[in-house]
Amino acid sequence: MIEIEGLVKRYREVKVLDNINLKINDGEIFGVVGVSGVGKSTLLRCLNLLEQWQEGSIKIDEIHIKNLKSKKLREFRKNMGMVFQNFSLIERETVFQNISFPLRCWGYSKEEIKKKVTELAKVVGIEDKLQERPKNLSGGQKQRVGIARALILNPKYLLCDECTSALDPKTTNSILELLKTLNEKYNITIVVVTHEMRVVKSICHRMAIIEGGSIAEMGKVEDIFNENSIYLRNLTGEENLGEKEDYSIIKIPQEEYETVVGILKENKINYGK
Amino acid sequence: MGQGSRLIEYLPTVIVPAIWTTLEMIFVSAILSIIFGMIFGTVLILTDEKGLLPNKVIHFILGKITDVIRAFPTMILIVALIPLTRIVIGTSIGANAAIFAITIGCTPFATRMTENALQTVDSDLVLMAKSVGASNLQIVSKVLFVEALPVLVSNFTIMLINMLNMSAMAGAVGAGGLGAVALTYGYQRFDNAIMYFVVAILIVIVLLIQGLAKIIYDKLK
Ligand SMILES: Nc1ncnc2c1ncn2[C@@H]1O[C@H](COP(=O)(O)OP(=O)(O)OP(=O)(O)O)[C@@H](O)[C@H]1O
Ligand SMILES: [Mg+2]
Repeated sequence: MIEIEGLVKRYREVKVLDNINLKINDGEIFGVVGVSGVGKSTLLRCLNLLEQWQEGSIKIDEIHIKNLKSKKLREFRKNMGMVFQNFSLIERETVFQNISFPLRCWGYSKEEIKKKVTELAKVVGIEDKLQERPKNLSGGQKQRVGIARALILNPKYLLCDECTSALDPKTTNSILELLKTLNEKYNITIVVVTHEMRVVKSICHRMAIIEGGSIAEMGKVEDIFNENSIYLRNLTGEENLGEKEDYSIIKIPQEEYETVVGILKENKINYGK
Repeated sequence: MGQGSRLIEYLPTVIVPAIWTTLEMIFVSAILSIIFGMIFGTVLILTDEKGLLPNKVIHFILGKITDVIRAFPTMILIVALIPLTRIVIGTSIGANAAIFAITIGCTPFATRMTENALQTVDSDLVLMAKSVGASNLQIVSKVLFVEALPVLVSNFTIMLINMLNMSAMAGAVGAGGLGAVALTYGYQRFDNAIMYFVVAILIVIVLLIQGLAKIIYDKLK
Protein backbone atom coordinates (compact mmCIF):
# COMPACT_ATOMS: atom_id res chain seq x y z
CA MET A 1 0.00 0.00 0.00
CA ILE A 2 1.15 3.51 -0.82
CA GLU A 3 0.33 6.12 1.83
CA ILE A 4 1.05 9.77 1.19
CA GLU A 5 0.53 12.20 4.03
CA GLY A 6 0.78 15.98 3.95
CA LEU A 7 3.20 15.96 1.05
CA VAL A 8 4.64 19.37 0.17
CA LYS A 9 7.10 19.84 -2.67
CA ARG A 10 8.72 23.12 -3.64
CA TYR A 11 11.06 24.07 -6.43
CA ARG A 12 12.88 26.98 -4.82
CA GLU A 13 10.00 29.21 -3.67
CA VAL A 14 7.34 27.73 -5.94
CA LYS A 15 5.04 25.26 -4.24
CA VAL A 16 4.33 22.55 -6.78
CA LEU A 17 2.61 20.06 -4.48
CA ASP A 18 0.69 21.37 -1.50
CA ASN A 19 -0.51 19.02 1.19
CA ILE A 20 -1.22 15.87 -0.79
CA ASN A 21 -2.95 13.08 1.12
CA LEU A 22 -3.49 9.86 -0.74
CA LYS A 23 -3.80 6.12 -0.20
CA ILE A 24 -3.35 3.64 -2.98
CA ASN A 25 -4.39 0.10 -2.17
CA ASP A 26 -2.69 -3.07 -3.27
CA GLY A 27 -4.06 -4.48 -6.49
CA GLU A 28 -5.75 -1.33 -7.70
CA ILE A 29 -5.21 0.85 -10.74
CA PHE A 30 -5.11 4.41 -9.53
CA GLY A 31 -5.35 7.40 -11.86
CA VAL A 32 -3.85 10.82 -11.20
CA VAL A 33 -5.18 13.52 -13.51
CA GLY A 34 -4.78 17.24 -13.84
CA VAL A 35 -3.88 19.92 -16.34
CA SER A 36 -0.36 20.27 -17.66
CA GLY A 37 2.18 21.58 -15.17
CA VAL A 38 0.06 20.84 -12.13
CA GLY A 39 2.65 18.49 -10.65
CA LYS A 40 1.50 15.02 -11.68
CA SER A 41 4.91 13.84 -12.82
CA THR A 42 6.52 15.37 -9.76
CA LEU A 43 4.15 13.43 -7.50
CA LEU A 44 4.83 10.19 -9.34
CA ARG A 45 8.58 10.69 -9.12
CA CYS A 46 8.36 11.17 -5.39
CA LEU A 47 7.01 7.62 -5.17
CA ASN A 48 10.29 6.08 -6.31
CA LEU A 49 12.41 8.86 -4.89
CA LEU A 50 13.50 10.34 -8.18
CA GLU A 51 12.40 13.55 -6.48
CA GLN A 52 12.75 14.59 -2.86
CA TRP A 53 10.18 16.68 -1.03
CA GLN A 54 10.15 19.17 1.84
CA GLU A 55 7.28 18.19 4.12
CA GLY A 56 5.11 15.19 4.76
CA SER A 57 5.72 11.50 4.36
CA ILE A 58 5.37 8.67 1.90
CA LYS A 59 5.06 5.15 3.25
CA ILE A 60 5.18 2.19 0.91
CA ASP A 61 4.38 -1.16 2.45
CA GLU A 62 4.79 0.40 5.88
CA ILE A 63 8.28 1.73 5.13
CA HIS A 64 9.07 5.44 5.25
CA ILE A 65 10.94 5.92 2.00
CA LYS A 66 12.23 9.47 2.43
CA ASN A 67 15.54 8.57 4.02
CA LEU A 68 16.43 5.53 1.98
CA LYS A 69 20.01 5.79 0.75
CA SER A 70 22.43 4.05 -1.63
CA LYS A 71 22.00 0.24 -1.65
CA LYS A 72 18.70 0.31 0.28
CA LEU A 73 17.32 2.91 -2.10
CA ARG A 74 18.38 0.91 -5.13
CA GLU A 75 16.80 -2.25 -3.69
CA PHE A 76 13.61 -0.31 -2.99
CA ARG A 77 13.43 0.93 -6.57
CA LYS A 78 13.46 -2.66 -7.88
CA ASN A 79 9.96 -2.92 -6.50
CA MET A 80 8.73 0.20 -8.34
CA GLY A 81 8.67 -0.30 -12.12
CA MET A 82 8.39 2.90 -14.12
CA VAL A 83 7.04 3.48 -17.63
CA PHE A 84 7.84 6.69 -19.51
CA GLN A 85 5.93 8.85 -21.97
CA ASN A 86 8.68 8.82 -24.58
CA PHE A 87 9.61 5.21 -23.86
CA SER A 88 13.19 5.99 -22.78
CA LEU A 89 14.76 3.17 -24.73
CA ILE A 90 18.48 2.86 -25.37
CA GLU A 91 18.50 3.42 -29.12
CA ARG A 92 21.80 1.72 -29.73
CA GLU A 93 20.70 -1.52 -28.14
CA THR A 94 18.29 -4.19 -29.28
CA VAL A 95 14.88 -4.80 -27.74
CA PHE A 96 16.36 -7.79 -25.92
CA GLN A 97 19.16 -5.69 -24.44
CA ASN A 98 16.72 -2.96 -23.47
CA ILE A 99 14.43 -5.32 -21.62
CA SER A 100 17.37 -7.01 -19.93
CA PHE A 101 18.91 -3.72 -18.79
CA PRO A 102 17.60 -3.95 -15.19
CA LEU A 103 18.71 -7.59 -14.95
CA ARG A 104 22.19 -6.70 -16.15
CA CYS A 105 22.36 -4.00 -13.50
CA TRP A 106 21.47 -6.55 -10.86
CA GLY A 107 23.96 -9.20 -11.91
CA TYR A 108 21.66 -11.91 -13.24
CA SER A 109 23.28 -14.76 -15.17
CA LYS A 110 23.05 -15.02 -18.95
CA GLU A 111 20.69 -18.00 -18.77
CA GLU A 112 18.35 -16.32 -16.29
CA ILE A 113 18.30 -13.18 -18.41
CA LYS A 114 17.46 -15.11 -21.56
CA LYS A 115 14.70 -17.04 -19.82
CA LYS A 116 13.09 -14.04 -18.13
CA VAL A 117 13.25 -11.78 -21.19
CA THR A 118 11.80 -14.39 -23.52
CA GLU A 119 8.98 -15.12 -21.09
CA LEU A 120 8.07 -11.50 -20.51
CA ALA A 121 8.36 -10.59 -24.20
CA LYS A 122 5.57 -13.12 -24.81
CA VAL A 123 3.41 -11.58 -22.10
CA VAL A 124 3.66 -8.10 -23.60
CA GLY A 125 3.55 -9.35 -27.18
CA ILE A 126 6.90 -8.43 -28.70
CA GLU A 127 8.56 -11.84 -28.78
CA ASP A 128 9.19 -11.53 -32.51
CA LYS A 129 11.01 -8.18 -32.20
CA LEU A 130 13.70 -9.06 -29.69
CA GLN A 131 16.59 -8.53 -32.08
CA GLU A 132 15.26 -5.27 -33.55
CA ARG A 133 16.53 -1.82 -32.69
CA PRO A 134 13.95 0.57 -31.17
CA LYS A 135 14.03 2.77 -34.29
CA ASN A 136 12.43 -0.07 -36.26
CA LEU A 137 9.46 -0.35 -33.91
CA SER A 138 6.10 1.43 -33.88
CA GLY A 139 5.18 3.60 -30.91
CA GLY A 140 2.99 0.91 -29.43
CA GLN A 141 5.72 -1.69 -29.75
CA LYS A 142 8.22 0.68 -28.14
CA GLN A 143 5.92 1.14 -25.18
CA ARG A 144 5.55 -2.63 -24.86
CA VAL A 145 9.32 -2.80 -24.57
CA GLY A 146 9.20 -0.02 -21.96
CA ILE A 147 6.57 -1.94 -20.00
CA ALA A 148 8.50 -5.20 -20.24
CA ARG A 149 11.63 -3.48 -18.94
CA ALA A 150 9.65 -1.99 -16.05
CA LEU A 151 8.30 -5.43 -15.15
CA ILE A 152 11.41 -7.55 -15.55
CA LEU A 153 12.45 -7.27 -11.89
CA ASN A 154 8.96 -8.41 -10.77
CA PRO A 155 7.94 -5.14 -9.12
CA LYS A 156 4.85 -4.95 -6.99
CA TYR A 157 4.09 -1.47 -8.30
CA LEU A 158 4.07 0.02 -11.77
CA LEU A 159 4.29 3.79 -12.17
CA CYS A 160 3.13 5.07 -15.56
CA ASP A 161 3.80 8.70 -16.50
CA GLU A 162 1.67 9.62 -19.53
CA CYS A 163 2.56 6.23 -20.91
CA THR A 164 0.02 6.49 -23.75
CA SER A 165 0.28 10.20 -24.53
CA ALA A 166 2.64 9.66 -27.45
CA LEU A 167 0.37 7.04 -29.02
CA ASP A 168 -2.63 7.17 -31.33
CA PRO A 169 -6.05 6.21 -29.89
CA LYS A 170 -6.04 2.68 -31.23
CA THR A 171 -2.57 1.90 -29.94
CA THR A 172 -3.50 3.54 -26.65
CA ASN A 173 -6.33 1.08 -26.28
CA SER A 174 -4.06 -1.88 -26.84
CA ILE A 175 -1.56 -0.63 -24.26
CA LEU A 176 -4.37 0.02 -21.77
CA GLU A 177 -5.62 -3.49 -22.42
CA LEU A 178 -2.15 -4.79 -21.57
CA LEU A 179 -1.97 -2.78 -18.33
CA LYS A 180 -5.37 -4.11 -17.33
CA THR A 181 -4.27 -7.67 -17.98
CA LEU A 182 -1.08 -7.18 -15.96
CA ASN A 183 -3.13 -5.84 -13.09
CA GLU A 184 -5.67 -8.65 -13.17
CA LYS A 185 -3.35 -11.54 -13.90
CA TYR A 186 -0.28 -10.60 -11.89
CA ASN A 187 -1.93 -8.38 -9.29
CA ILE A 188 0.39 -5.47 -10.01
CA THR A 189 -0.64 -2.19 -8.42
CA ILE A 190 -0.58 0.49 -11.09
CA VAL A 191 -0.42 4.26 -10.69
CA VAL A 192 -1.33 6.04 -13.91
CA VAL A 193 -0.57 9.70 -14.43
CA THR A 194 -2.39 11.17 -17.40
CA HIS A 195 -4.25 14.11 -18.84
CA GLU A 196 -6.35 11.82 -21.05
CA MET A 197 -9.72 11.17 -19.48
CA ARG A 198 -10.35 8.09 -21.56
CA VAL A 199 -7.33 6.44 -19.94
CA VAL A 200 -8.68 6.73 -16.43
CA LYS A 201 -12.16 5.95 -17.61
CA SER A 202 -11.20 2.73 -19.27
CA ILE A 203 -8.79 1.19 -16.76
CA CYS A 204 -8.68 2.94 -13.39
CA HIS A 205 -10.58 1.86 -10.30
CA ARG A 206 -10.08 5.06 -8.37
CA MET A 207 -8.73 8.45 -9.32
CA ALA A 208 -7.60 11.79 -7.95
CA ILE A 209 -7.89 15.14 -9.67
CA ILE A 210 -5.06 17.50 -8.86
CA GLU A 211 -5.59 21.20 -9.09
CA GLY A 212 -3.32 23.97 -7.88
CA GLY A 213 -0.97 21.44 -6.34
CA SER A 214 -3.54 19.74 -4.13
CA ILE A 215 -6.15 17.05 -4.54
CA ALA A 216 -9.42 18.62 -5.60
CA GLU A 217 -11.35 15.41 -5.80
CA MET A 218 -10.77 11.75 -5.14
CA GLY A 219 -12.86 8.62 -5.36
CA LYS A 220 -14.16 5.82 -7.52
CA VAL A 221 -13.90 6.57 -11.20
CA GLU A 222 -17.58 5.98 -11.95
CA ASP A 223 -18.65 8.18 -9.04
CA ILE A 224 -16.49 11.05 -10.17
CA PHE A 225 -17.66 10.80 -13.76
CA ASN A 226 -21.30 10.54 -12.68
CA GLU A 227 -21.01 13.51 -10.42
CA ASN A 228 -19.29 15.45 -13.22
CA SER A 229 -17.96 18.14 -10.90
CA ILE A 230 -16.54 21.46 -11.94
CA TYR A 231 -13.01 20.03 -11.59
CA LEU A 232 -13.73 17.24 -13.99
CA ARG A 233 -15.41 19.59 -16.44
CA ASN A 234 -12.36 21.84 -16.27
CA LEU A 235 -10.30 18.95 -17.46
CA THR A 236 -12.62 17.71 -20.15
CA GLY A 237 -13.64 21.08 -21.51
CA GLU A 238 -17.32 21.01 -20.48
CA GLU A 239 -18.07 17.71 -22.17
CA ASN A 240 -20.59 15.67 -20.29
CA LEU A 241 -18.65 12.59 -19.48
CA GLY A 242 -21.41 10.97 -17.49
CA GLU A 243 -23.07 9.86 -20.69
CA LYS A 244 -21.79 7.14 -22.91
CA GLU A 245 -19.38 8.52 -25.42
CA ASP A 246 -17.10 7.11 -28.01
CA TYR A 247 -13.68 8.40 -27.06
CA SER A 248 -12.02 6.92 -30.08
CA ILE A 249 -13.40 9.76 -32.15
CA ILE A 250 -11.34 12.90 -31.75
CA LYS A 251 -13.61 15.90 -31.37
CA ILE A 252 -12.86 19.06 -33.24
CA PRO A 253 -14.42 22.25 -31.87
CA GLN A 254 -17.08 23.75 -34.16
CA GLU A 255 -15.15 26.92 -35.21
CA GLU A 256 -12.05 24.93 -35.93
CA TYR A 257 -14.14 22.54 -38.01
CA GLU A 258 -15.58 25.44 -40.03
CA THR A 259 -12.13 26.83 -40.70
CA VAL A 260 -10.83 23.50 -41.88
CA VAL A 261 -13.83 22.98 -44.15
CA GLY A 262 -13.36 26.53 -45.45
CA ILE A 263 -9.75 25.86 -46.34
CA LEU A 264 -10.63 22.59 -48.00
CA LYS A 265 -13.33 24.26 -50.10
CA GLU A 266 -11.11 27.14 -51.05
CA ASN A 267 -8.48 24.76 -52.33
CA LYS A 268 -11.13 22.69 -54.10
CA ILE A 269 -10.18 19.65 -52.14
CA ASN A 270 -12.81 16.99 -52.11
CA TYR A 271 -13.35 16.12 -48.51
CA GLY A 272 -15.83 13.41 -49.19
CA LYS A 273 -19.25 15.07 -49.25
CA MET B 1 61.07 16.55 -58.49
CA GLY B 2 62.96 19.83 -58.55
CA GLN B 3 66.61 19.81 -59.40
CA GLY B 4 68.83 19.20 -56.46
CA SER B 5 66.07 17.65 -54.41
CA ARG B 6 67.30 14.83 -52.25
CA LEU B 7 63.84 13.36 -51.79
CA ILE B 8 64.72 9.93 -53.19
CA GLU B 9 67.85 9.74 -51.15
CA TYR B 10 66.12 10.78 -47.94
CA LEU B 11 63.00 8.68 -48.39
CA PRO B 12 64.21 5.50 -46.64
CA THR B 13 66.64 7.16 -44.23
CA VAL B 14 64.69 10.21 -43.04
CA ILE B 15 61.10 10.33 -44.23
CA VAL B 16 59.95 6.79 -43.55
CA PRO B 17 61.32 6.79 -39.98
CA ALA B 18 59.70 10.20 -39.50
CA ILE B 19 56.34 8.77 -40.53
CA TRP B 20 56.68 6.11 -37.86
CA THR B 21 57.72 8.65 -35.24
CA THR B 22 54.72 10.81 -36.05
CA LEU B 23 52.31 7.88 -35.97
CA GLU B 24 53.79 6.72 -32.67
CA MET B 25 53.45 10.20 -31.17
CA ILE B 26 49.84 10.53 -32.27
CA PHE B 27 48.90 7.01 -31.31
CA VAL B 28 50.32 7.08 -27.80
CA SER B 29 49.21 10.60 -26.97
CA ALA B 30 45.75 9.93 -28.44
CA ILE B 31 45.30 6.91 -26.21
CA LEU B 32 46.48 8.79 -23.15
CA SER B 33 44.40 11.90 -23.91
CA ILE B 34 41.32 9.84 -24.59
CA ILE B 35 41.69 7.92 -21.33
CA PHE B 36 42.24 11.07 -19.27
CA GLY B 37 39.64 13.01 -21.27
CA MET B 38 37.00 10.34 -20.68
CA ILE B 39 37.75 10.33 -16.96
CA PHE B 40 37.71 14.11 -16.57
CA GLY B 41 34.74 14.52 -18.95
CA THR B 42 32.78 12.01 -16.89
CA VAL B 43 33.72 13.83 -13.69
CA LEU B 44 32.44 17.09 -15.25
CA ILE B 45 29.14 15.45 -16.17
CA LEU B 46 28.74 13.79 -12.78
CA THR B 47 29.57 16.88 -10.74
CA ASP B 48 27.36 19.18 -12.81
CA GLU B 49 24.55 20.94 -10.97
CA LYS B 50 22.08 18.57 -12.61
CA GLY B 51 24.45 15.60 -12.56
CA LEU B 52 24.39 12.42 -10.51
CA LEU B 53 26.87 13.68 -7.91
CA PRO B 54 26.64 17.48 -7.94
CA ASN B 55 29.78 19.12 -6.61
CA LYS B 56 30.30 22.80 -7.35
CA VAL B 57 33.94 22.96 -6.20
CA ILE B 58 35.25 20.03 -8.24
CA HIS B 59 33.19 21.03 -11.26
CA PHE B 60 34.43 24.60 -11.14
CA ILE B 61 38.12 23.79 -10.63
CA LEU B 62 38.22 21.07 -13.29
CA GLY B 63 36.32 23.24 -15.73
CA LYS B 64 38.66 26.18 -15.20
CA ILE B 65 41.86 24.12 -15.58
CA THR B 66 40.43 22.68 -18.78
CA ASP B 67 39.62 26.10 -20.19
CA VAL B 68 42.95 27.65 -19.21
CA ILE B 69 44.99 24.95 -20.94
CA ARG B 70 42.75 25.16 -23.99
CA ALA B 71 43.28 28.92 -24.16
CA PHE B 72 47.02 28.48 -24.83
CA PRO B 73 48.04 28.65 -28.48
CA THR B 74 49.47 25.21 -29.27
CA MET B 75 53.00 26.30 -29.99
CA ILE B 76 53.22 28.45 -26.86
CA LEU B 77 51.83 25.63 -24.73
CA ILE B 78 54.47 23.23 -26.00
CA VAL B 79 57.23 25.73 -25.25
CA ALA B 80 55.74 26.70 -21.89
CA LEU B 81 55.64 23.04 -20.91
CA ILE B 82 59.35 22.49 -21.59
CA PRO B 83 60.49 22.88 -17.94
CA LEU B 84 57.77 20.50 -16.76
CA THR B 85 58.56 18.09 -19.57
CA ARG B 86 62.21 18.06 -18.46
CA ILE B 87 61.22 17.21 -14.91
CA VAL B 88 58.78 14.45 -15.86
CA ILE B 89 60.43 12.89 -18.92
CA GLY B 90 64.03 13.87 -18.20
CA THR B 91 64.49 15.63 -21.52
CA SER B 92 62.57 18.10 -23.61
CA ILE B 93 63.45 16.63 -26.99
CA GLY B 94 62.42 13.42 -28.70
CA ALA B 95 59.16 11.57 -29.14
CA ASN B 96 58.49 10.92 -25.44
CA ALA B 97 58.77 14.59 -24.59
CA ALA B 98 56.41 15.40 -27.43
CA ILE B 99 53.95 12.74 -26.29
CA PHE B 100 53.94 14.32 -22.85
CA ALA B 101 53.30 17.81 -24.21
CA ILE B 102 50.67 16.71 -26.72
CA THR B 103 48.85 14.67 -24.09
CA ILE B 104 48.67 17.65 -21.77
CA GLY B 105 47.60 19.87 -24.64
CA CYS B 106 44.90 17.51 -25.89
CA THR B 107 43.46 16.15 -22.66
CA PRO B 108 41.36 19.29 -22.05
CA PHE B 109 40.05 19.00 -25.59
CA ALA B 110 39.22 15.32 -25.05
CA THR B 111 37.59 16.27 -21.74
CA ARG B 112 35.23 18.76 -23.37
CA MET B 113 34.60 16.36 -26.25
CA THR B 114 33.60 13.65 -23.78
CA GLU B 115 31.44 16.06 -21.81
CA ASN B 116 29.78 17.24 -25.01
CA ALA B 117 29.10 13.69 -26.20
CA LEU B 118 27.63 12.57 -22.88
CA GLN B 119 25.43 15.66 -22.80
CA THR B 120 23.70 14.49 -25.96
CA VAL B 121 22.17 11.56 -24.06
CA ASP B 122 18.48 12.06 -23.23
CA SER B 123 18.18 12.87 -19.51
CA ASP B 124 15.09 10.65 -19.30
CA LEU B 125 17.39 7.67 -19.88
CA VAL B 126 19.22 8.55 -16.69
CA LEU B 127 15.91 8.69 -14.83
CA MET B 128 14.98 5.35 -16.34
CA ALA B 129 18.25 3.79 -15.18
CA LYS B 130 17.80 5.22 -11.70
CA SER B 131 14.25 3.89 -11.59
CA VAL B 132 15.44 0.31 -12.01
CA GLY B 133 18.02 0.74 -9.26
CA ALA B 134 21.13 1.17 -11.40
CA SER B 135 24.18 2.53 -9.59
CA ASN B 136 25.91 5.69 -10.78
CA LEU B 137 28.75 3.65 -12.23
CA GLN B 138 26.23 1.53 -14.15
CA ILE B 139 24.44 4.63 -15.41
CA VAL B 140 27.73 5.95 -16.76
CA SER B 141 28.96 2.70 -18.27
CA LYS B 142 25.73 1.04 -19.39
CA VAL B 143 23.76 4.10 -20.48
CA LEU B 144 25.76 7.26 -21.06
CA PHE B 145 28.77 5.76 -22.82
CA VAL B 146 26.68 3.21 -24.71
CA GLU B 147 24.33 5.82 -26.09
CA ALA B 148 27.00 8.47 -26.72
CA LEU B 149 29.54 6.18 -28.40
CA PRO B 150 29.02 7.31 -32.02
CA VAL B 151 29.21 10.98 -31.03
CA LEU B 152 32.26 10.20 -28.95
CA VAL B 153 33.97 8.58 -31.92
CA SER B 154 33.26 11.48 -34.22
CA ASN B 155 34.39 13.97 -31.57
CA PHE B 156 37.64 12.11 -31.01
CA THR B 157 38.26 12.07 -34.74
CA ILE B 158 38.36 15.85 -34.70
CA MET B 159 40.78 15.63 -31.80
CA LEU B 160 43.01 13.15 -33.62
CA ILE B 161 43.36 15.47 -36.57
CA ASN B 162 44.16 18.30 -34.20
CA MET B 163 46.83 16.09 -32.70
CA LEU B 164 48.49 15.57 -36.05
CA ASN B 165 48.66 19.31 -36.25
CA MET B 166 50.19 19.54 -32.80
CA SER B 167 52.72 16.82 -33.46
CA ALA B 168 53.89 18.68 -36.54
CA MET B 169 54.34 21.83 -34.47
CA ALA B 170 56.12 19.89 -31.76
CA GLY B 171 58.55 18.96 -34.53
CA ALA B 172 59.74 22.56 -34.47
CA VAL B 173 60.98 22.20 -30.92
CA GLY B 174 62.81 18.94 -31.20
CA ALA B 175 60.10 16.31 -31.25
CA GLY B 176 61.18 14.73 -34.52
CA GLY B 177 58.65 13.22 -36.88
CA LEU B 178 57.19 14.61 -40.10
CA GLY B 179 56.88 18.14 -38.77
CA ALA B 180 60.58 18.26 -38.06
CA VAL B 181 61.41 16.91 -41.53
CA ALA B 182 59.22 19.48 -43.25
CA LEU B 183 60.77 22.28 -41.26
CA THR B 184 64.42 21.21 -41.46
CA TYR B 185 64.50 20.20 -45.11
CA GLY B 186 61.76 22.37 -46.47
CA TYR B 187 61.99 25.56 -44.50
CA GLN B 188 65.65 25.69 -43.60
CA ARG B 189 67.19 24.00 -46.64
CA PHE B 190 64.61 25.09 -49.20
CA ASP B 191 64.07 21.57 -50.52
CA ASN B 192 60.48 22.14 -51.63
CA ALA B 193 60.04 18.64 -52.98
CA ILE B 194 60.64 17.18 -49.55
CA MET B 195 58.35 19.71 -47.92
CA TYR B 196 55.46 19.09 -50.29
CA PHE B 197 55.99 15.37 -50.08
CA VAL B 198 55.67 15.56 -46.30
CA VAL B 199 52.56 17.70 -46.66
CA ALA B 200 51.12 15.07 -48.99
CA ILE B 201 51.82 12.37 -46.42
CA LEU B 202 50.09 14.44 -43.74
CA ILE B 203 47.07 14.83 -45.99
CA VAL B 204 46.99 11.09 -46.59
CA ILE B 205 47.14 10.45 -42.84
CA VAL B 206 44.24 12.86 -42.26
CA LEU B 207 42.20 11.18 -44.97
CA LEU B 208 42.96 7.75 -43.52
CA ILE B 209 41.93 8.81 -40.02
CA GLN B 210 38.73 10.34 -41.33
CA GLY B 211 37.88 7.36 -43.53
CA LEU B 212 38.49 4.91 -40.73
CA ALA B 213 36.46 7.01 -38.31
CA LYS B 214 33.58 7.14 -40.79
CA ILE B 215 33.56 3.36 -41.09
CA ILE B 216 33.59 2.95 -37.30
CA TYR B 217 30.90 5.62 -36.87
CA ASP B 218 28.60 3.98 -39.42
CA LYS B 219 29.10 0.61 -37.76
CA LEU B 220 28.23 2.04 -34.34
CA LYS B 221 25.33 4.20 -35.36
N1 LIG C 1 13.42 20.60 -11.97
C1 LIG C 1 12.50 21.55 -11.86
N2 LIG C 1 12.84 22.79 -11.43
C2 LIG C 1 11.92 23.75 -11.29
N3 LIG C 1 10.63 23.59 -11.56
C3 LIG C 1 10.21 22.39 -11.98
C4 LIG C 1 11.12 21.30 -12.16
N4 LIG C 1 10.42 20.23 -12.59
C5 LIG C 1 9.15 20.63 -12.68
N5 LIG C 1 9.01 21.91 -12.32
C6 LIG C 1 7.76 22.68 -12.27
O1 LIG C 1 6.87 21.99 -11.46
C7 LIG C 1 5.57 22.04 -11.99
C8 LIG C 1 5.00 20.64 -12.12
O2 LIG C 1 5.71 19.93 -13.10
P1 LIG C 1 5.28 18.47 -13.52
O3 LIG C 1 6.20 18.03 -14.58
O4 LIG C 1 5.18 17.62 -12.32
O5 LIG C 1 3.85 18.73 -14.11
P2 LIG C 1 2.86 17.72 -14.85
O6 LIG C 1 1.57 17.81 -14.16
O7 LIG C 1 3.50 16.40 -14.96
O8 LIG C 1 2.74 18.38 -16.27
P3 LIG C 1 2.60 17.68 -17.72
O9 LIG C 1 1.20 17.23 -17.86
O10 LIG C 1 2.93 18.79 -18.66
O11 LIG C 1 3.59 16.56 -17.77
C9 LIG C 1 5.66 22.77 -13.32
O12 LIG C 1 5.19 24.07 -13.15
C10 LIG C 1 7.12 22.78 -13.63
O13 LIG C 1 7.46 23.96 -14.29
MG1 LIG D 1 4.25 15.25 -16.57
